[in-house]
Amino acid sequence: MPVATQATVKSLTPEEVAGIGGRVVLSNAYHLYLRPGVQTVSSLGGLHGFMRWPGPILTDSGGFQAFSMGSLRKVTDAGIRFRSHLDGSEHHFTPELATMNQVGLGADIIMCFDQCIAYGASERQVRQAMERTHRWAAQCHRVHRDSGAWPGRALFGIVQGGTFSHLRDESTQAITAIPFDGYAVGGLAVGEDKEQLYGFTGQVAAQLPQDKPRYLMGVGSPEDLVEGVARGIDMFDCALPTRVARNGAMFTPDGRVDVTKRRFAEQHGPVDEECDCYACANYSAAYVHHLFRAKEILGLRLASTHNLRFVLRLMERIREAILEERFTSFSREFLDRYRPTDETARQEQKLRWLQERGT
Amino acid sequence: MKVSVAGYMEFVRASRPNVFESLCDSVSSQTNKLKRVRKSVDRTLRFLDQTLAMRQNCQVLEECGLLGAVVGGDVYEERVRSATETVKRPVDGFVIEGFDLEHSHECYQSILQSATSVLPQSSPRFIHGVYSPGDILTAVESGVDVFDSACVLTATENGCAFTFHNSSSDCVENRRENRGATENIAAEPPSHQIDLNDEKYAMDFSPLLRGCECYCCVHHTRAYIHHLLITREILASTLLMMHNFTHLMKFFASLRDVLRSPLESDYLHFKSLCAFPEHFLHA
Repeated sequence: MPVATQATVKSLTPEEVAGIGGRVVLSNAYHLYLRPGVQTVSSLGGLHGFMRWPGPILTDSGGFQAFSMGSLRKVTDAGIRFRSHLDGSEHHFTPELATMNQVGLGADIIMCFDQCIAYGASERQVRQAMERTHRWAAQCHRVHRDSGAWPGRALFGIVQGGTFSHLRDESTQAITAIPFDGYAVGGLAVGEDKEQLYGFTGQVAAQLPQDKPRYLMGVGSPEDLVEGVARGIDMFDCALPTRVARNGAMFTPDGRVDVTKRRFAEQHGPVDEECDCYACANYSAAYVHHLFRAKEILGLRLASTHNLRFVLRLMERIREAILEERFTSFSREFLDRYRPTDETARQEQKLRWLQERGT
Repeated sequence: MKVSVAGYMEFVRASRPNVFESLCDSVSSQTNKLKRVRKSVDRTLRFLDQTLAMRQNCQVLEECGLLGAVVGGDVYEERVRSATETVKRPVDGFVIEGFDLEHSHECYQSILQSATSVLPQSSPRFIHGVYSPGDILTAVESGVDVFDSACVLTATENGCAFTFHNSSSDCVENRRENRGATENIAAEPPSHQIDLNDEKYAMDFSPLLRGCECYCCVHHTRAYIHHLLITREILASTLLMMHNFTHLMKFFASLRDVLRSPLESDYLHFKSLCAFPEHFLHA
């Protein structure tokens, strides 16, 4: 799902996103609650009318942002008190408010309000956050039912438990005991290594109901999508494709390349010979390289178009492979060829991005 | 870094444009002395002659149209001299160089006219960097034919959407709406554009301009553009460019239609509908 945090997939029109193959987009209730406000969006026809996205929209509850972006936060059983990163105003997110915000925004799929915990927290802290998340999940489920928005609008539960195997099991049991419309694996992609990411994903997904969608939140790079599907995941969201695109990093079947590097200055062919996106169909890598060097917005748009198309087409090919019962060989072939970004560099980049999130 | 005529022509040859301008020495207006202005005219003519010589020997360059640059700062005599001498050379059109934003309206118009008055009627006259749409009419009245899109970028970068008259949209109604139905339009200068950064658009469900058929006006609202600007989203620029470009192109189409009419009154009526205020020139 392409990420449209503030009711726009950065730099691209809804028509362009749909043309690339986007079907569902994700927006963020924390950002939209603060600006322009749930009431404003609601009176302008909800998120669909506001941003003119013709397909389904999923919203995140905003719990993670309240935790990571809001300052002076205080978490209690009642919810999260925080100050807006924009103007310092005080706010209090509760399970009820977080749920009704998303209903007010008019999203088709909404997420439970959960307590996020930093990577590296102690088992005691992770347990406390997990148990609170379970209590909040039950409240969100009740509020959603009573709001009259169900079954027209789906609510997903989120499994937490940090990087503790037994807590992951416990959380999976607790969340699946509530009849949500889908289940998400939360609290990963926050600094753990790939082995842990894939390990916990598989552990949780194996215990989720077969007939409900499974969503791995905040993931990921092309290799993560293949590995995630292999472990039972159906849905992903990640700002990575468009974020790295704006810095000139573009996906190819052999791995990520930096189009701002000198070696692309004279390349006549597109960045990815096998890609069918607008950028690769019309422009040389040299032109895209030039646009980045000249700091032209079109460079960002072309690179974003390409990266989104790359991951969306990857998902299309995964679906085809599954239907044709050749997913295993497909994934092996893809992973053999695709060289992931160096782990250390990836972690540094992620940490930098997480620190910059407030701006 | 030095840009010689030879170096510039090598770039032109590699680029293969349909039309290119000869290299020129264009001085800005009020800060330069007469001696410097004269030198710029002489130098520009020398560059043009070198360009013509190189073009003669090269098939690729011969296939590109060549515009001679008319320079001369704010000095009427030098503008006339530059234009007169350039006309003697075998160029395909002319570009009037060296207009910056410090001119008064009268000065702008009279200098332009001094340059264009000696140019052949049948040759196209180009100008760069006309940053406000009001100046487009001034330049057209002064004999200019072809413009670049500088004013589109300026408006977009300021978060503004064009609303001045072009015959495809009901701009009078839009202006009335912008300021409340009870106000007397004739009493105030009409707006040529709206600033979407303004808080008053936060809950405005209407398109940027009623009647406009651009992608932005067909699909989006003023409130959405306002939100995109406030949140500093790139899409704001994309959508505003679509609107402003479409609007300006329609404006030129309407202008061309009006200029085909033999009646001056048709043009004057069009101009009165645009009603660019005096203070908007060089805004």
